[in-house]
Amino acid sequence: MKKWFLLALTFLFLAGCMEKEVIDEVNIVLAIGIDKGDGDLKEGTDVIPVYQKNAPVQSEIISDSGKYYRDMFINLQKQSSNPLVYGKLEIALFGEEMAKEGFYDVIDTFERDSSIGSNVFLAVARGKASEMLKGNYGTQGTADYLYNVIKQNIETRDLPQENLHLYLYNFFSNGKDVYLPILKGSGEGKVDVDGIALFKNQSMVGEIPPNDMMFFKLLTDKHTKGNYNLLLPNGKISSIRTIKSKEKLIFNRKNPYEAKIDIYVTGYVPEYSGKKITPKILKEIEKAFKAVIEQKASAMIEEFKRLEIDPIGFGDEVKHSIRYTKVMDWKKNYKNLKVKVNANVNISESGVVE
Amino acid sequence: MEKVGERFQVSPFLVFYLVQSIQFGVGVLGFQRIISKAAGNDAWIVVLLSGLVAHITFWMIFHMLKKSNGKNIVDIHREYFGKWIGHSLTLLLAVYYLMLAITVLITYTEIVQVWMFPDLNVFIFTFLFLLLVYYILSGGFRVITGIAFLGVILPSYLIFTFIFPLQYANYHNLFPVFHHTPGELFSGMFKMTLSMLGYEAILFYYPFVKNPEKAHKWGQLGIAVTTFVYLIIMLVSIVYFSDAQIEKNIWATLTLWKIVEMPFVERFEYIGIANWNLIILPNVCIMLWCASRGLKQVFSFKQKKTILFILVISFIVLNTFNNREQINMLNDLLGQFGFYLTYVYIPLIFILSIVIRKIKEKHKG
Repeated sequence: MKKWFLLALTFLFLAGCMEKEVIDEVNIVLAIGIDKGDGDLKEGTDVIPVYQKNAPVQSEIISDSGKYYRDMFINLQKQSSNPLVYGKLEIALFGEEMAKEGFYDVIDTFERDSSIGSNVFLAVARGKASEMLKGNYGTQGTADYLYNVIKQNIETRDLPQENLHLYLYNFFSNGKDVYLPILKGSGEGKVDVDGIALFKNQSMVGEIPPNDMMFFKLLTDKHTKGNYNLLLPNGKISSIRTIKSKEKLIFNRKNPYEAKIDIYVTGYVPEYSGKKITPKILKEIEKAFKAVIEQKASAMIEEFKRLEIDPIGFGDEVKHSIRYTKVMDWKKNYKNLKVKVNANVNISESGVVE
Repeated sequence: MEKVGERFQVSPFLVFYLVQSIQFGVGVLGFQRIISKAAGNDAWIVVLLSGLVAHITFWMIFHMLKKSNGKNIVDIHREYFGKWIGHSLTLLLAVYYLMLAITVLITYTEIVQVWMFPDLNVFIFTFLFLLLVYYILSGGFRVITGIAFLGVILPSYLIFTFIFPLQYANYHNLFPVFHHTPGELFSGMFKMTLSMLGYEAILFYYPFVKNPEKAHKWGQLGIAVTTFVYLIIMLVSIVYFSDAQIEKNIWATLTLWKIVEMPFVERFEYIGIANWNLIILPNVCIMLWCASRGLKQVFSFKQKKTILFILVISFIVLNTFNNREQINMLNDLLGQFGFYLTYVYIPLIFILSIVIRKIKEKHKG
C-alpha cells in the first residue's frame, strides 16, 4: 500500500510541470491598437503597463506589423522581453482607415481566444490608433485612462452601451448593425469622444456627430443619461439633462413596414439663460425638446436608410415581434420602412432655485 | 439473486442527489448550441419537453422495478430473455455506461485544455482522476452517494452567476414563441437526450436503496431540479446571445461567464471550470459503478476486480481517443444509443414487464 501511495505522490508532483504564468514574468497587454499599414500590412501596437514606486504608471509600447493578423501578433511577440498575455485586455482601438476597411478578422481572434473577456471596449481612433496609444494620459496609465473615458461616457453621458459581447451580438444578429465610439486625441494628454462610428457589416460607413449622440442613444439604449443645449423660441438657451428614458418600437401588424417609436424622456434643467423658470417656460421647454427629439431622430433614421444600415435594430425587432413569413425580404424592403417618432418629454425639476 | 445487506443501502431521499448529480454533467456547458441549431429561440420548450419525457421514463423504470421485488436490470434481463440474450443486453448497457463515463471525462479534459491549460498532460490528469475514482468506488455505493451529495450541494451556488449576463438581456429574443414546427422541436429533443440521460442508472442501483418505494418522489424531484436548471441556463442564453451567435459558441455556458466581473475575480470561467471537476466526479463514479456492477453480476466476479478492469479500460481509451472529431463521433453515437434507450427500449421492456406479470397471474389463478 505504501508503495502505491508513493507512486501516486510522484504523479502529483509531475502534474506541476505545466507552463507557468507568473505575473512578474509576463507582459500583460492592457490596450491594443490596430492600424492599416502600407499596402495590405496590418500594424499592431500593444500597451503594457510598467509599475514603478511613487510614480505614475508608465507604458511600454510595442509595435510591429504583418500581412495577416497572425503574423502581426507573432511579430509583436518576438519584440517583447516577456511573453505577451492578453487576458486582461481592456480596450482595443482601431485606426480610422482600418475601420473603413473592416477588422472583423481580429475580432474573430479575440472571440476565439478563451482568455479574452467579453467586457473589452472597442473603439475607433481618429487618425491612427498607435498615435493615440503613444500619448501620456493621467496617472493610471494609458489603457486605464482610455477605458475610463469610455466607461464614464457610457454611464453618465451620451455614449450608447458597447463592449466586445455587444459587438458580436449585433454582428451576428442578422438585423442589427454595429456601432462603436470614436475617440479623438484633443491636444496633449486628453482624449475626447468624437461621435459614433456606424458600420455596415464590418466596415465603417458613416458617423454620428457628438452633438447628436444623445438622440442616437435614445433610440438604441433603454436608459439614457445625456445632456442637450436647447435654443428656445424666445431666444433663451436652456440646458436639459435627461435622467431616465425608455424607447418602445411598435410595428403595424398589418404592414410591418410601418413602425412607430415612442420615446419617453424624463429630465431636469440644470442651466437656464433667462431669469426665472416658470411653469409656463417649463412647458415650453418640454415642447421644444419634444420637437427637437422627433426631428433629429427622424432625420437620423432617414440617414440610416440612405446608408442601408440598421444600427437601431429594426430588423432584429421585427423578426421577434412579427412571425417570419411576413418579413421574408425585410432587408430588400428596408428602404421603404416608414417610421414615426413620437417623443414624450417630462421635465421634473429645475434645480433648487426658482 | 443475492439480497443487498442493509449496511450497504442508502436512504430513499438520497436518490434525489444520485439522480441529479448523474444527469448534470459536461453537457450543461455546451448544450445550447446543439439545441438552438434545431429549434432556435424555442429551444427552451425543447428543454421542458425533454424533462417531461425523463419524468415519464423514470416512472416506467420505477414501476417496473417496484413490481419485481428488489431485483435490478440484470436479474430482469435474465428472467425475461434467458441467460444468453439477457446477459448480452446487460453487457451492452455496461459498455454504454463505460463509454458515457469516458465521454464525460474526455470532454472535460478538452475543456480544461481549451480554456485553462493548453499543455495539460492528459495521461497524468486522467490517471490522477481515475485514481480518485478508484478510491471512491472501492468504498462502495454509500461513499458514491456521499460524493453525489457533495457534487450537488457544493457547486449549487453557481446558479447565481447566471444573473450577471442578464444586464445585457434582450427579452424580445424569446418571441415569437412556438414558431418552430413539431418536427424541429423533436429533432431538438433528440439532441437533448444525451444531456438529460443518467437517471436510468437506477436500473442498476435500485437494490441499494432502502425502502425503495419511498424513493420514487425523490427521483422525480431530482429530474425536476435538473430540468429547471437546464431551463434557466437555456433562457439566459437565448436572451443574452443573438441567434447566429449562440450557434457559434461551442461552450456557451462558459462564454456566458466571460461577462461576469466581480471586484475580487476578474474572470469567472476559471472558477467555474475548476468547480466543474466536482460536478463530473460523481458523474463518472456512478457511471463506472453501474458498468462494474453489470459485469460483476454477469460474470460473478468480485466487484473490486471488475472496477479495476473497467478503470484500466477507461484509462487506455482516454489516452488513445482524444481528438475533436473522435469525441464528436462518440458523442453522436452515445446520443443515438441514449435516444433509443429512453424512447424505445425502456417503454418496450416496461410493457413487457406488465404483460409477463399478467400472464404469470393468470397461470397462478
